[in-house]
Amino acid sequence: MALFAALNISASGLTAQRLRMDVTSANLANAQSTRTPGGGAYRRQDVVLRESTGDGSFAGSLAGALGGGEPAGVEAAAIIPDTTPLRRVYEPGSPDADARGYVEMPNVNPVEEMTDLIDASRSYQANVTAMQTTKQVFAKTIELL
Amino acid sequence: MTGPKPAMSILDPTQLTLMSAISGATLRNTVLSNNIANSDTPGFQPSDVNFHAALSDALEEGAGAVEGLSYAPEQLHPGALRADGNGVDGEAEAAKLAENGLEIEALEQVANSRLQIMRTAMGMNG
Repeated sequence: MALFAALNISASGLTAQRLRMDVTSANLANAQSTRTPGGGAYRRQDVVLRESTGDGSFAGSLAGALGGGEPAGVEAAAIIPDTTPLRRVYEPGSPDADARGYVEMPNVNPVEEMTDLIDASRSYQANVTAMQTTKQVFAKTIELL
Repeated sequence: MTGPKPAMSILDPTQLTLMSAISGATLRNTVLSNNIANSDTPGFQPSDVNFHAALSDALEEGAGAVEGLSYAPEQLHPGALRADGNGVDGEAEAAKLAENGLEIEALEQVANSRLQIMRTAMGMNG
């Protein structure tokens, strides 16, 4: 076990939650974007997290796969697009309107994004608190020397 | 007295037990931090380290067993608390982490006091 394993684990939690906040912010910012580089309206993105299995080394991955490994924190597995249908709004004057005057708007629900943002920021705080507890304990351990 | 004598350590059994408890509690700190970091991971089930039980079993075996004692996390199966199969109760984990932190500090306080006594006995405190 690395000496500062707990600190690294909490740091991985901070990174993961900040990524969630970044993606949620991007969703909110693009709530009205009707054009994307890939064509069509913006689709909301979602972060999928998974438990880390070791430090990327073979031994760490093997121990993780066997279930006997040391805990190694969390990591983002993927950022996936939300496949729910886009909103269709009647706006004949828009340059993005189709032949019948409908515009496809992003499937972003601002209320949902705000609750996601609160959830991510609370989880971030929980990891900060865990980190502080660990730091306090390590400071005491160092006094033993 | 017959039979092999245990290897002599400069530390007495109580000190070794304290050190062992600190290492168990430190591992528990790591495991609980991991639970909190994975509170949004789909399908994740929390783990814990029952170092109290392992240590008390070793103490019943004898002081020699405490020295070779190693702790391992075990997965709990509280079932799914959320639709994504995650089983972490954030509040409970935070409470356990705070309690465990205080326990480590208490253990270290005692270990430190005992080391000071030894230092005094060795004439290292002036």
